[in-house]
Amino acid sequence: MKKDPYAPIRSQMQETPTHWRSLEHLNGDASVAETQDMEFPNGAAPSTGYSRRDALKLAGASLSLGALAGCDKLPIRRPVEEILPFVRAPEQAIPGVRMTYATAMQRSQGAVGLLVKANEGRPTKIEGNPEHPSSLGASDIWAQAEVLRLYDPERARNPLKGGAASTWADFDAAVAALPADGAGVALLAEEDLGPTGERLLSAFVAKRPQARVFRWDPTAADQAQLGAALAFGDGARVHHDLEKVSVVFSLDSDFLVSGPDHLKLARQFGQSRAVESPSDARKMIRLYAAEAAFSVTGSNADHRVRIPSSQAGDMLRALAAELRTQGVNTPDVVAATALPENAQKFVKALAKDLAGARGAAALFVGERQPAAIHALAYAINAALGGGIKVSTSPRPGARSAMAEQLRALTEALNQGSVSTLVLLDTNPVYTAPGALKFAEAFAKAKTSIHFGVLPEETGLKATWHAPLAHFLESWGDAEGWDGTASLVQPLILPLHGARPLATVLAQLCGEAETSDRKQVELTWRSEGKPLADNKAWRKALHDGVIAGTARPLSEPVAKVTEVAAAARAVQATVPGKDAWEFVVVQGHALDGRLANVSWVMELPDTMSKLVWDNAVLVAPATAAELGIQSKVDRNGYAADVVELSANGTTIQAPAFVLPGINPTSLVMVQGYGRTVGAVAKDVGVSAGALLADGLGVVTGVKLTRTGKTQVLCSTQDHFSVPGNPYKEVTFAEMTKMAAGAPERALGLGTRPHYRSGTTAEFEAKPAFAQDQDISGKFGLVELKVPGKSAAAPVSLTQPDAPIKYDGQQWGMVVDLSSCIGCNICAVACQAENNIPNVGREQVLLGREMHWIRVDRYFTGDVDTPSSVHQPVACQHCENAPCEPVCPVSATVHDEEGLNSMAYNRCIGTRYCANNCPFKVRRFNYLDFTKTGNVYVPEEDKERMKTLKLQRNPDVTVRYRGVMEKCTYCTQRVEEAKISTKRDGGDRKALPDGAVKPACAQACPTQAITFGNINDEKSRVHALKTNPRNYELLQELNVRPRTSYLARVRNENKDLT
Amino acid sequence: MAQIFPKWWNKTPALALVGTLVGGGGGAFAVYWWASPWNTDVGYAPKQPIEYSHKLHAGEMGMDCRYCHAYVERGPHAGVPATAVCMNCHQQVKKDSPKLQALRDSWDNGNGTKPINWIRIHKTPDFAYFNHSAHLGVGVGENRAAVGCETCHGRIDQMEVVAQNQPLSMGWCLDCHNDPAPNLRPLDKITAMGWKGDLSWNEKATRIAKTLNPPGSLSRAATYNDKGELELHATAGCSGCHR
Repeated sequence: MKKDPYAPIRSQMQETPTHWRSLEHLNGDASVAETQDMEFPNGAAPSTGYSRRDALKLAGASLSLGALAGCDKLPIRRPVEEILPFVRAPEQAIPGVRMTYATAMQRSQGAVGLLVKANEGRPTKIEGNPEHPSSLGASDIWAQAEVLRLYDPERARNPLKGGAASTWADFDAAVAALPADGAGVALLAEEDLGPTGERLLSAFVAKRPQARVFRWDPTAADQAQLGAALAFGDGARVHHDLEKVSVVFSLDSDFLVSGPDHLKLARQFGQSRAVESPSDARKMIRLYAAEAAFSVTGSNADHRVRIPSSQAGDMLRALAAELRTQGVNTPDVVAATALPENAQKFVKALAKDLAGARGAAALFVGERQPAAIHALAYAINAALGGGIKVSTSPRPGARSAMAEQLRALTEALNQGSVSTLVLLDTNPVYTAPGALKFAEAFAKAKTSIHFGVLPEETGLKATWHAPLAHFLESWGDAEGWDGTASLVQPLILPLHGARPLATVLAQLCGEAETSDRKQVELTWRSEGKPLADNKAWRKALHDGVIAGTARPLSEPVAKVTEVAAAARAVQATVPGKDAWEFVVVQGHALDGRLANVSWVMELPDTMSKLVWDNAVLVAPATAAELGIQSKVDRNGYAADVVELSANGTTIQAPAFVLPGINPTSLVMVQGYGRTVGAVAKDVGVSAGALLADGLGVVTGVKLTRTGKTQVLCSTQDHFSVPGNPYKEVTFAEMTKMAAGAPERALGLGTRPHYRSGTTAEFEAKPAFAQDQDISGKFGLVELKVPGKSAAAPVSLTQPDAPIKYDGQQWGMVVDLSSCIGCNICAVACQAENNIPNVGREQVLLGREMHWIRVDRYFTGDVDTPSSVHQPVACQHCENAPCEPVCPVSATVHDEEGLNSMAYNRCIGTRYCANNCPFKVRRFNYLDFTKTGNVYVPEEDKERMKTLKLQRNPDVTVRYRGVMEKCTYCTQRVEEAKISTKRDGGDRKALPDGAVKPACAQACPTQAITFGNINDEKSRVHALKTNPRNYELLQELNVRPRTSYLARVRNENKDLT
Repeated sequence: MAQIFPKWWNKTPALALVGTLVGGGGGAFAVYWWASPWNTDVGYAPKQPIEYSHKLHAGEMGMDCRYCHAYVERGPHAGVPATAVCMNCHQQVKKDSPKLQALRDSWDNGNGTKPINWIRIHKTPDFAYFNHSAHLGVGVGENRAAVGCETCHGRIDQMEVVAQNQPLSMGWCLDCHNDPAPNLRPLDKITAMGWKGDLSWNEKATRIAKTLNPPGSLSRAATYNDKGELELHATAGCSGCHR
């Protein structure tokens, strides 16, 4: 038996439950202390490859050379620039004014309505469409990432034949040569191509009757729909609604950030948790989660229990049985295996709670669970009432599992019954489960035609790759989960001559009309169609939704006996040592489709905070048992590489110790280890290689240590702020402390940056979060000085004079109760503010540039911690410590309280970052935006040509040597002011809600509120006076403009 | 033996010092002036692809600036007219003039797609945001006023070839932002050239200016209120232009 390296932590935990960022943090590891002492993570400061001496040499040389080069241009005058007006100016387009268009993005899990902003004809920013029921104005990482994907420099410029450039004429000839009757032809598509796409697909099959259509998409709600069919009949679709729900159970699911309607569900969940007064607390949703991985939803749960994915079905069966004893008419099933003791207790308490919440319960089951388990959950939910409604899917009829369809296709390819394969924007060569060996079967196809926005693995292996237009470049239509249809309108002509989906399908059907717009009009605008009227068509384009297209919902009536029979047949496995369970989860990169988007790859994973890497996530106890370690190495981790093998397949991947993972599970994020793509290539390891089917769980996995280690890139402890002094300290005590460490010595975690309480605490004392805040005049920290009376304090900080502001004063409130930690704010901020990506090497140096970091803290014990999230950006302090230390006044306050940054003034001393207690300032150590010629490799210059089309012209693109940070989206504030002023209004009294920073705009739960704190009627003012309101580092008297509302947990007394 | 150095040589250190100071100061000023936008930018009058005369169009014929620069009140850029705007008249007027060949090439009987490559004259740096429309209507209600075209662009109506008239430097911007009153005019006089306010307007402008406090107005950075408390407006608004 190996010694448990976490033993000291475990014993410590029982005494001091607090918020910790990592095991090292909890353990008091020296590396964390070192990081906390510095404004940037260790090693960020020295520049790579260039010493100070080199820099001086270069500077000298460039000065003299520059002087010489300038000689021919005297007198000095900037380079000649041209103005190119239109020949005919388009109506309504005003140069320099962002235009917004409504469109939608079709997904297998239903469309999401979007508002896309364009500058001079370039789409630059995607936001949610408030009118759309699946968006409600919010967006997710997928939606945000699409705008960068549009400009991906690796999109093919012309059709590729066998990966080499060819021409459209040759390609068209190849398409024309498709067998007329469709013999041997198969078509692989995602679940939903939108009304027009599906119409054309049916036409394709009608025209070539022998052609077969297969569907495959790892992001689809496949098992959920199969389960719905089991429970409610073929073609049924289940709609969750948390509006009136009070108890939610999430089984191996991540419904808050993925799956159908997740933005709507997150909104409803967040709104229910944003309690204003103790009376609201009784109406809060109580969230229970049982899972093997640590999901975002799990981290938001009031009660979370770890259960292997392969045993999760049993938990639901046990729940059904328990509920039956409470008089709920659930299907008659019992657990086949013995659940762990804590899980049994959990099930009992949950059943009691659910039974008490009849008509107000909701159950969610993840895609890793088989259809029968979904059906069981639906049946239980139907018996309890509330939470779900049922509709009939647009394509009724029996459904077969996507993994089965892919298997059938693979077999058909192997047997040769399919010789021609047409793929519509899907990448099965990478996404197919490894055991299928799809790539080998794919190679056997005589002809394969891949249509895709990007060539990806499949396009390069296919006979033909034809560039497909992005949805931002195409006319089309999309259908939401609830049937709400939207028109998709292009914001830009297809780049590089790509063809829209409707055109491609029309061509495959051999139709004469191949215009995408005409095809969409055929669906909607022709005689007798809903949008035949010109006005209706224009309104649909404007609104982004077609009114009256939502399908009617009905109350669920489950086929209890059928469901029980199916649920009984589900195998449950109890994984254990040497028969581990391998669980694949979807991260930011989804099934790998977003892996070539650098925003996504540089976004830290919500729970592990891994960046540009994925790893086998293991629980601390498991790691200790197996002798696996992920040790701190500079700003990342030196992780032991392990080999996993199952069913004759093996993969090697680094292991990362993550608290909260089920001890018998090995968890891995999907979408990494791609082999094609300048960004995606060789980042992480493909988890899909080990999979046997579409479910994402493999049992009986063997794990062996390879003895190798690999560096993992993680921002877990980056920009960690030390615990805060709050005790009164005497000088004598202070002098005894080790240099540089007084903050740490003084009560780490005693006044956590993150504050939360239970509903009971909230009801007993609504202002619980302000406990221990420094009282007294303006919250100054007072030092007791020997020989001086307490009445003559020495202030540690700056002026104690009152500062009176007039007019509108901007401020922000982040409600930690409704923040779910989805990280969308960080990406939306990046898209809006031209924030560069720095790449893996630079993140390892601690130089990431995100203006918003979402701090994830664990609380509780090492094995079963809960976790919370806290977005931290510039706090816009009244007494901003960064301001007085700037030698050139590059960072100053403006009259409306913004701590502004004048980039062109900044000379890069980094004193401001050094003095910022929140560590929210970011420095451009290199020319990360690739504006100049220094440090930019040739291949990157080519990349930047298209990528820079995404940039927001209203925000300065920062160069090397410049400090930057959150500006409260000052460009949006100014835009609101200018447009108000233009219309004759008062720019100093904007209405509440006139300005929404990108983060607040994108937030699905509306956890971020921005506005005028000086206006007593504003929402932000109301929240600032909420008893849950508290400031970070309040004792420093920096008086941040951003404050937080403490989280309220809705715990069940039976489980605490 | 005669003295090698005459007596006046004693004064050389002093003379050298004065010379260095004057020469150095003069040199520094010369370089400063030479590199300042007053020298580098003011008077910049590049040759345009069409010899368009503002003097003729705006001056003699009295066309309103906004006929061509149509976006000036609605967006950040005033806009250069599309070929179609020129052709509104030039399909009838001077339709065969050899000077307008470039225009006709761009128009190509209404089928053209090639723009006319005008040379940009006025430009603020990329890190400084400028918005025309924000200057063409400031203040609220009765206190509404505007900055005229002439203030920044000079007497366009007298320019055969347009030249930059003002340095467009930050100091120059701040001069007006600190004291906007002299450059305010009524809304209906925005495009008027050579307009001067009368005494009553000047008084009104001073009153209006007090209500404005535009971004960058350093003079209002710190003021005392009636109670004698210090009101900090810090350096009122870098972020208006630098974002």
